[in-house]
Amino acid sequence: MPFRSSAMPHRPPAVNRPGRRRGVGTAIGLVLLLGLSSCSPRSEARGTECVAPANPGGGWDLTCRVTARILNQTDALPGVMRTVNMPGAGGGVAFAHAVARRGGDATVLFAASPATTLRLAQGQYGPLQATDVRWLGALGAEYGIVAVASDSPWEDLGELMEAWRARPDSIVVSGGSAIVGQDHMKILLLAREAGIEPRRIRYVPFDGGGEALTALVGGFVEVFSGEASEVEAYLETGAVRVLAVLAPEPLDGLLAGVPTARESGYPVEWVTWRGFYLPGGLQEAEYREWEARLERVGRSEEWARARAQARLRPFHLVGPDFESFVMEQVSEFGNLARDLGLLDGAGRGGRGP
Amino acid sequence: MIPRRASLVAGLVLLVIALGVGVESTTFVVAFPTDPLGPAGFPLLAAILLAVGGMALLLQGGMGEAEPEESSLPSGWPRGGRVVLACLVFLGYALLLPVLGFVPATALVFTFLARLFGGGLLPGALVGVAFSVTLFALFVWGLGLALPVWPLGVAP
Amino acid sequence: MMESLGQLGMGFAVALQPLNLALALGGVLVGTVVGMLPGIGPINAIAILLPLLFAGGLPPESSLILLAGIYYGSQYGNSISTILLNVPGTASAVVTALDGHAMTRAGRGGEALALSAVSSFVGGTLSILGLVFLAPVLASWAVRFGPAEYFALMIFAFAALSSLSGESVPRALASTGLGLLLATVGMDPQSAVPRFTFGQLRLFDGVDFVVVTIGLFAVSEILLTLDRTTWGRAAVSAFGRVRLGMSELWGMALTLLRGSVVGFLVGVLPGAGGTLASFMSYGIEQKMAGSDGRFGEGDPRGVAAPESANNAAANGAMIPLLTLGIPGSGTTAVLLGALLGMNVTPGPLLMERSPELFWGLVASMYVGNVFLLLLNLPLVGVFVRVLRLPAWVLMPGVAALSFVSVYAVNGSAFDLVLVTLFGALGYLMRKGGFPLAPVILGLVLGPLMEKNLRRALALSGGEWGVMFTSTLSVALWAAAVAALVLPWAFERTRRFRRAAGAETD
Repeated sequence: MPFRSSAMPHRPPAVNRPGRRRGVGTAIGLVLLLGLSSCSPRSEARGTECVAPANPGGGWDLTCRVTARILNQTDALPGVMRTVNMPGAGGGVAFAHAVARRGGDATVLFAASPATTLRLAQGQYGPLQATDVRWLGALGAEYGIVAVASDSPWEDLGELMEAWRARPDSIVVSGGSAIVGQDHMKILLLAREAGIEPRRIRYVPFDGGGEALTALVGGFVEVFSGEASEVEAYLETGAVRVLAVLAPEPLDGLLAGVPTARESGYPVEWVTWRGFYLPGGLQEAEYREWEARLERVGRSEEWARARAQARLRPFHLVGPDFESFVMEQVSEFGNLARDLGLLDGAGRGGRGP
Repeated sequence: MIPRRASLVAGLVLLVIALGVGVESTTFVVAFPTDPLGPAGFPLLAAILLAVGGMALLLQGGMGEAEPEESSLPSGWPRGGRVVLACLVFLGYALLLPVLGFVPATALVFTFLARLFGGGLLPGALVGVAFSVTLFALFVWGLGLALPVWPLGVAP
Repeated sequence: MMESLGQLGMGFAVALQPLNLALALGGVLVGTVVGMLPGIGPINAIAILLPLLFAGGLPPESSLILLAGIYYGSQYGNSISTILLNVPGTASAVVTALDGHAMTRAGRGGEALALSAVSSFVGGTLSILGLVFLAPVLASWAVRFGPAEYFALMIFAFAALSSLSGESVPRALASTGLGLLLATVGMDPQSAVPRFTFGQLRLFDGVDFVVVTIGLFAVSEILLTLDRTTWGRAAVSAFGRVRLGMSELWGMALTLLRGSVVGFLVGVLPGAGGTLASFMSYGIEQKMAGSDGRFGEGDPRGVAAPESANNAAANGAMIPLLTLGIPGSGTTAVLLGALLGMNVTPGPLLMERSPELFWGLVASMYVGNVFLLLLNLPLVGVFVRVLRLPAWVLMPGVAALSFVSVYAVNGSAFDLVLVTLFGALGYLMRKGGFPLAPVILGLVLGPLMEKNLRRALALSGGEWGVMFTSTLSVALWAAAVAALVLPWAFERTRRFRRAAGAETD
C-alpha cells in the first residue's frame, strides 16, 4: 500500500480551518493538474467542445448534449461540437480546467447552473472566482418549491413557517442536495425571512429529489425542499401538497394555483437556471460570436422542444445581462454564506465583482 | 504458506494507516453541522476495522502462531524486476498519452509489455500498432469519445 | 392481474414489430462490443449512445427497445471480459469474476460464458413475472424503507457475505476496512467537507469505482501473470468444452430461482438494489452450499447466482423508477433521462395513465434479453478463442483495453496513475493473502451505509435506538445475526457428530 502509508502521516497538521484547507488543497490540486496530468482531452483541430462538469446523465450533461446537437445542425460553428464529461468537485475540476488551461480559448464552452455560482460564492472552488471566466448565458430554468405530505397539518406556507418559528427542532426537512447546497439554501433563505436561527433548521440530505420526496411520502420527514419538476408526478396522486413556489410569478401547468413565496409573505425566489460560461481572456469579438450562437440556439424551435422535454421553463438571458445577473447572484450567495458563518475568517471565495 | 515476516509487515502497515486516518479525521471540521455523527465517524469506524485486523496480524506474525494453510495462493515475495518495470511502464503511459497522442503511446507501451511477456520486438510492435488503431477507431469514431489524437493535438 | 397480463401482451405486440426487432438485435450487438471495454459499462454505454438515439427521431417505444438491447448487450459484454480476462467493470461483474474467471483458469471458460447468458435469461424471465404480479405491492414496500431499515439491510448484506472473505479473519477485516475507507475518499456528500483528498481536485468526487476494480483485478492480474513464470506462453493451458449440459443446468435450477428472487426483491429498493443484488445472492448461495461448495475456485453456482440476480434486479429497479420516479441504479437513472426526453414523467400514476409504455418497456427489456441469448450462445466459442492468443499478445492487450477505457470516460491521465497504484496494491494484497472482494464490497456498500446511518441519526436527533424501532429493521438485524451464527453452528454440530461417530467406532 505505498499510496496510503507514505502519503498520510506526512501530511502537514497545520491546515485546520475548512476554508483555508480547501483553498490550499485546491491550489495544490491546480498545480498538479497543470504539471502532472494534463487532463485535457484535446479537441481535434477546428472542432469545438462543450464541457459538462459531471458524469453522463445529469443536468449539465444534458445541457451540453442538447446544445451541441442543435448547434451542429446549424452552420454556426466551424467543425463539429462534441460533449466532454469532466466530473469532479461539483464542477470544480472543470472550472479549474477553464481557468488554468483554457484561458483565451474560444473553442470551448462549459455548462453551469446555480450549483456553480453557489460553490464559487462559498469558496468551494478554492481561490477561483466567478470573474475568472466569462459568463455567456442561460437558456432555461426551473423553480424551487416547498412541499409537505398531503396529511400534513399545514395548509399554506404561512402556517408552516409559524409552526417552524414556534418549534424549530420538531420539523425535519429533506432535500436532494448536500448541506448548504441548493435545496438547503432555499430553506435557509425562508428561515432568514421568518427570523428562525438557521443553525436550528434540521435538514437531511438525500441523493436527489426523488429519494428526498420518498422520505416525505414515507413519513420520515415533515417538509421537502426541491424543484418544481420533481414533485409534478406526485401531485397527480395527491400524495404531496406544494405550499409555495419560489418563483417571481405563479407557475402554470400542474402547479397553477400554488402561490409564490412572496405572495405568502416570504419574498424568496430560487431560479435553477441552466447556462454556460466561457474561459476568461477572450477577445470581445469572440465573446460576441458565442453570444450570437447561443442566442440562435435559444430562439430555435428545436430548443423550445428540447427545453420542454427536459421539464425546463423559459428563461432566456444571454450576454452582458447574464454576466451582471451572475455577478449579482454570486455576491448575494457570498453574503448569505458569510451570514451563516460558512466563510469564517478565510476571507476568500465569496468576493463579488 | 505466507511467511511470518509478511504478516508482520502487513500488520504494521495497517496500523499505520489506521493511525493516519485517525489523525486526518480530526481535521474534518464542518462549518455548518447538521448531523450528529459528522464526517469523521464513519472513517473512524473503518479505521477500527483496519486496526483490529492489523493488530491480529501482528500477533499472529510475532508470536509465530500457525497461519491457515493457503495453498491456493501464490507464494513468496514479488520477484521484483519485471513487476516493478511493468508498473513503471504503466505510469509512463499516463505521462506519454497526452504528449504523444493515443496511437503512438499505446503502440509503444504495447510493444514494451509484449517484450516483457516474452514476445519478439517486431511482432509486438506490429500487433501493438494494429490493436491501438482498432481501439482508436472504436472509441473516437464508434463512441464519439475524445482521445488525444496525435502529438500536441495536431489533427491527423 | 389479468389486466396486467393483457397489457404485457400489448407491450409484446409493439416490441415484436420488425423494425423493433431489428433495433433490439442491433442494440445487443453494439452493446456487447462496447460492454467488453471494461471502463465503459452499461451506464456509460447508454449515456453516450442516448443523444444519438434522440437525434435519430425514432418513436419512443423503438428508442426504448434499442436502449434495452444496448443495456443487455453491454452487461453481457462486460461478463465476457470479466470471465475470460478478469477485468470487471461493474460491481456485479466483480462477483461474477470470483468464480467465472476461476472457471476459465480451470479450462471451463466457455461453460462459464454460456452459463452467464442462460442465467441472465432466467433471471430476466422470472423477474418479469414478478413485475406482472407484484409491482403495486412492492412499490409501497419500497417507500417503507427508511434510513434505519437501509442500514440494517447493509449489515445483513455484510453478514451474508462474511463467507466471501477467505480463511484469515484479520485479513478479511482489513480488506473490508480498506474498502469502507476508500468509499469515504472525496467530498463528503452530506457536509461537503473534503476527506482524504490530499488537495487533489480529481479526488473530490471520490475514487472512481471502475478505477479501483480495474486496478485491483485486471492490472494486478497482469502483474501476477508476469510473476508466474510457469505459465509460459499461453495464458490458459487447458480448454474444456464450450457447451453447457442440460443436466447441469437442472442441477442449478434452485440456485437460479433463489438468485432471481433475491435479485428482484433487492432490486426494488431504490439506491441499494442493483449493486447489492449480485453480492447478496452470491453470499446466500455460498451459505446454503456450506462445505459442499467450492466457491472462489470455479464453482458454477458462483456464476449462476450473481448473473441471474443481476438481471432480475434490473427488472426490479423498474418498479421504483416507474412508480416512484426514483432511479434504483445508475442504469435506470439514464433510463429516467430517456423517459423524460420522451415527454413521459415516471411517477405513481404512470402504470394507470400509460400502461402501454410501462409494459412496452418491460416487453422490450425481455426482447433484449432473448436476443442476448440467441445471439451470444453460438458466439461463445468465438469469444473463448481469445484465450488461445499467446500471453505476449493477450496480456498487453488486456492492459491497453483497461487503460484506454479508464482514460476515455473521464479523459483523465490522473486516473491512469490511480489504476496503476491500485494494480500494485492488488498485487501486493494477493501476494499477502488478502481477499480482494471485501474491498469492492466495502467500496460499494460503504457510501450507502454511511449516509443511511447518518440520516437515521439526523432524523432521530442522535438517538441510536432509532435503528431498532420498526419491525422491518429488527427483522433485518435478526437475519444478519442468523447469517453469521447459523452456518457456524451447523458446522460445529456436524463436526461434533463426526467426532462422536469416530470415537464410537
